[in-house]
Amino acid sequence: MNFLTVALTSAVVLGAPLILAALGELIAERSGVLNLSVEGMMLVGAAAGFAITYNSKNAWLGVAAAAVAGALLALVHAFVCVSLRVNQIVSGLTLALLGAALAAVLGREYAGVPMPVKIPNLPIPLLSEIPVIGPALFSRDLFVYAAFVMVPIASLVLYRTRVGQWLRATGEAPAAADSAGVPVYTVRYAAVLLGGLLAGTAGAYFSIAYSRTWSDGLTAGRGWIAIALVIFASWRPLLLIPGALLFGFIDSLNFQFQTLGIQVSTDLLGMMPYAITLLALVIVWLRQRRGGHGVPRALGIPYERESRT
Amino acid sequence: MPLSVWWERRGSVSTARRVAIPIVAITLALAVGAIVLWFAGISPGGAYSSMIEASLGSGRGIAATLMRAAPLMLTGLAVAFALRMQLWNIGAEGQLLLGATGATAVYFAFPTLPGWILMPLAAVAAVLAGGLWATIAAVPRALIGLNEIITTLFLNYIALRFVSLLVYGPWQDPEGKGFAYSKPIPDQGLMGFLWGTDVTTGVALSLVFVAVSWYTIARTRWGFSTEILGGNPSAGIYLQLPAKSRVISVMLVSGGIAGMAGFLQLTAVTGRLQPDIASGYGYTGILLAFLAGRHLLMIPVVAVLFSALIQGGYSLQTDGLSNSISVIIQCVIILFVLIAGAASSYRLRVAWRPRPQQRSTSPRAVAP
Repeated sequence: MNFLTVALTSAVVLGAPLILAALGELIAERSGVLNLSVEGMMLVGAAAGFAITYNSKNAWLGVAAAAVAGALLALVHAFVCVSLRVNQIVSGLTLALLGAALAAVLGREYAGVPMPVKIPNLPIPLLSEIPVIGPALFSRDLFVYAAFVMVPIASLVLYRTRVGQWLRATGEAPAAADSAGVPVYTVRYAAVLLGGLLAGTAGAYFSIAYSRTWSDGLTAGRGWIAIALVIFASWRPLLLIPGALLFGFIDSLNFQFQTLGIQVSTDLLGMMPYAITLLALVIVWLRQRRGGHGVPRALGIPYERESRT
Repeated sequence: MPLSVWWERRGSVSTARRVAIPIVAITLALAVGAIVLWFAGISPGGAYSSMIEASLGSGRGIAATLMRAAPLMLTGLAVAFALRMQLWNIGAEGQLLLGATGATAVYFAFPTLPGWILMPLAAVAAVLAGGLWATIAAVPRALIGLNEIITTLFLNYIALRFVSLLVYGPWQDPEGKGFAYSKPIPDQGLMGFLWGTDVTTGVALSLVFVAVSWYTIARTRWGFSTEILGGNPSAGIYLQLPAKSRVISVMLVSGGIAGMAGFLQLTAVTGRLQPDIASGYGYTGILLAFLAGRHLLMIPVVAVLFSALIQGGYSLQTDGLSNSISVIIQCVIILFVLIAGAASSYRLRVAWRPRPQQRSTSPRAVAP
């Protein structure tokens, strides 16, 4: 494989879980609920996914368990923030730390144990024959395909269907949506739970398909990068793809330099994803200023029916 | 008549409830912790008694708990201080690391200076380094309104790699067999003990930081205007308060306090720079600040509670559990306090009549 193929492959492989997690967060935020616990949900998913896959020898059972584990954490967030109207930042940060700790307990017997099952790559006939793009994009596993296919579907649902309209209305003007008969609380619960399902799945990707092992803090802050990606994409699903590919590529630099035989400090390279995301956020935020960023107007604000006027 | 269930807002929350909530929350959190322990195959009773024994059961245990409470107090204070202006400093972990780095730099630059001048110098370097690290996130927040939560958090990961770079590179201990730590700092730079006890001076220093911060917020013009800017930004603008520069100065102070925690860790615990010098205290500080709420003077109390949990957790000596069990209990305490706090400002109503649509009893319904 030439350099370009390797670079694109790692961007796709590391970008896919970012897409899953970021898409989940985008949906939750579009409903008006900021969920900062993505990293916690991913870790819980990664640990649960590994444990179930290891014991059942069935990777898809593991993925399902991971999704459920992520959604359970999200359910706590939804209950505390949507029903009880507690500050979303406090709840999200607490759950991020709780999720990481729960995952450490859940996964502690599996630390360093190799994953017995492998998720097979499914090359798509013809498409996988295309040079460079073929091996990078069309010879991947179901996880990667699902992540990339979900984005245009989400975009269609968000902008072209009744459900998407409900979601956007709930995140922009919940009181008006409520008056128009949109079930605001249900929409918010559903959006947060969907976010949890997707984050848990993204976590399972790391433990089952990518690292194929469990170690404490496996996702290494990628949940936070996913949250940054949503800002980066100005809350529009399609824009998640270029962002995720870019950060997937930066994330893989360590590996890239190794294959090329270039000696660069792993610590310096390890800083890159965070330093570049930080810089990118500043630049994007500056550039978006005139367009109003695209932040859902009710983001972070609990909705209280009694206060409707 | 159908059975209806709804939440109704209470007018006020009684003092008895306010006192009862944390106690009930701690009890329930310990119960959840017991379930986790049992799930992990450890007898909860035995684990809890060994945790209490290790943290509060002996003079040594109590001294260790108090010593651990000192840096926690500072990271918690750092977060709580910024929160007074509604700024979310999630970067105490990184600011602590940078503080420890700044102090180490001073120790390595002037290894022969006497302790009475070297230590204050190192402490100032720690505060400055931590504060400046926080301003990296504060400046974009002040100038273009970029939210500080994600940026301060990213700075943690960068700081960790930066320290790792130093201790594997220029500052590596030549006798350290390739382990991730620097040369030791000079002996005269180590923290002393309080008069005839096993408790380091760091505990007293941290209490001074809490007291000064409380005074600044609660009793000075600067503190008062900071709270106005945090609570009601438009009023702050109307009063022509310096909103932008205040964001930077508050984050500078907040980061500086966390940097001081790094100085304590370096001089009282590790004696050298190492990547695990922060031991997650920056994150524990967030939880601590959430639990202490708006009361800066509650921080030492919560710090001792959390410190006892962490100290006790280490006594379990089980990989993946020792660190996590205390975090789980801390998080669950906060969740229960949140739930109970919200639930007690509402009243759950169950009745055989339709849910009223517009209620005059709800204060939010009349007040805009």
